[in-house]
Amino acid sequence: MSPKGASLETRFSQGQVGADGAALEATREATEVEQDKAREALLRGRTWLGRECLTYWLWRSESSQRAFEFEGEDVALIFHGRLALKAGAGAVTEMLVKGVTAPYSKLVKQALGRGVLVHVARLKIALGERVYEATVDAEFFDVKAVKLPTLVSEDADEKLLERLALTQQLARIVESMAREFIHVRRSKKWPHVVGEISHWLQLE
Amino acid sequence: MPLRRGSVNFAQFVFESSPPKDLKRWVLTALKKGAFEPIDLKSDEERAAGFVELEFSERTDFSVGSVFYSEAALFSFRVDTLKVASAKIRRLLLEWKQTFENSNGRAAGRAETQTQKDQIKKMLRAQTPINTKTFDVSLHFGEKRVLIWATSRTIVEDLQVRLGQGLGVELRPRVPAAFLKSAELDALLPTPELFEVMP
Repeated sequence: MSPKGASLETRFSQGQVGADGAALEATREATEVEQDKAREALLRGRTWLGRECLTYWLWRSESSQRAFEFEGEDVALIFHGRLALKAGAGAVTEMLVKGVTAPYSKLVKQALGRGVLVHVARLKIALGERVYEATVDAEFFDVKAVKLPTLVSEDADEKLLERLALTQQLARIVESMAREFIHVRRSKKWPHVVGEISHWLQLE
Repeated sequence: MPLRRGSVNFAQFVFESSPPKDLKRWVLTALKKGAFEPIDLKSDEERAAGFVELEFSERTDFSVGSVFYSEAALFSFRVDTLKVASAKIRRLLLEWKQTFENSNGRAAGRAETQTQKDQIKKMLRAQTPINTKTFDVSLHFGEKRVLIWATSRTIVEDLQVRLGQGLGVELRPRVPAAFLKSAELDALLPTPELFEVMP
């Protein structure tokens, strides 16, 4: 056996290289880079708080608790369709699920239970007869691909003002739901809520 | 023009300081200060950005009637880009170098090459169409809220800075962290039970 071969064998037996030489080191480097990126994405701009918020909304949307309230009216919130989940560490750093009821699936709950929290969600928000659809992300809370309730105005300028008023209302609803999360998050109730969320994740 | 039609996408901000009593003058001054100015074709500028009227992306007059709608100010942010493909410059320069060598019996000098490169660049800039994009902005006085109707974070962040500077206010994004005082926020840590990674 050549010295080079012996050296490789020794390194292989010590777990420094795989069967193909440098493979283990390369994999380890790639894993470290991925973990660093996942952690950085979690901490950047306190994205973790946004992920906690969207995960709380998901739990609230299925819990028996009273719906969100907006200016004295109940807001019904449903997660539907596409859902992106992200973790700050671990073997799985990102998951994308699709399907109308996918956000409430066992698979998603298992992922949430392992620290892979909601990062981007498609929401259906109903305020009385008005139904909005929108996609919200945990990092910037940008509201995208909005589907507004049907406009009733016919005149172009009136349509513009109605569209503006509806969009403004959606912005305020999203803000009020985020405020409610923060109200609970900073209160003494939060550990109890986390307990309920954990229980909900283990229900199925 | 997403304010009038098309898919709605927005980033929302609020400003906490009180605006001056003369709201119209306040907004119009900010818009005029940051008004769009086209790219100077004689220069090397590759991007020009600034505010334009909502209905006419060529206009920067900002009359009261063109900006104020009910309780809001509506306008657009125009971004023009003019980028000449460097591969095209390189190809034309190479062709010129070969022609020069064939007709002069020697390779072109460094200064000659640079002069030719500048000429090619100038010629291509004149031929390349300018790419124009507009992004709408709505400023809602009652709620001190600004909606930037765009999906690109580069545009949102550029607008956040320009508009904030123009109006003399800090535009704060409406993320959950914005509802906490900085001391509370600093004391807050991720919930371990939620972020715990199980094997």
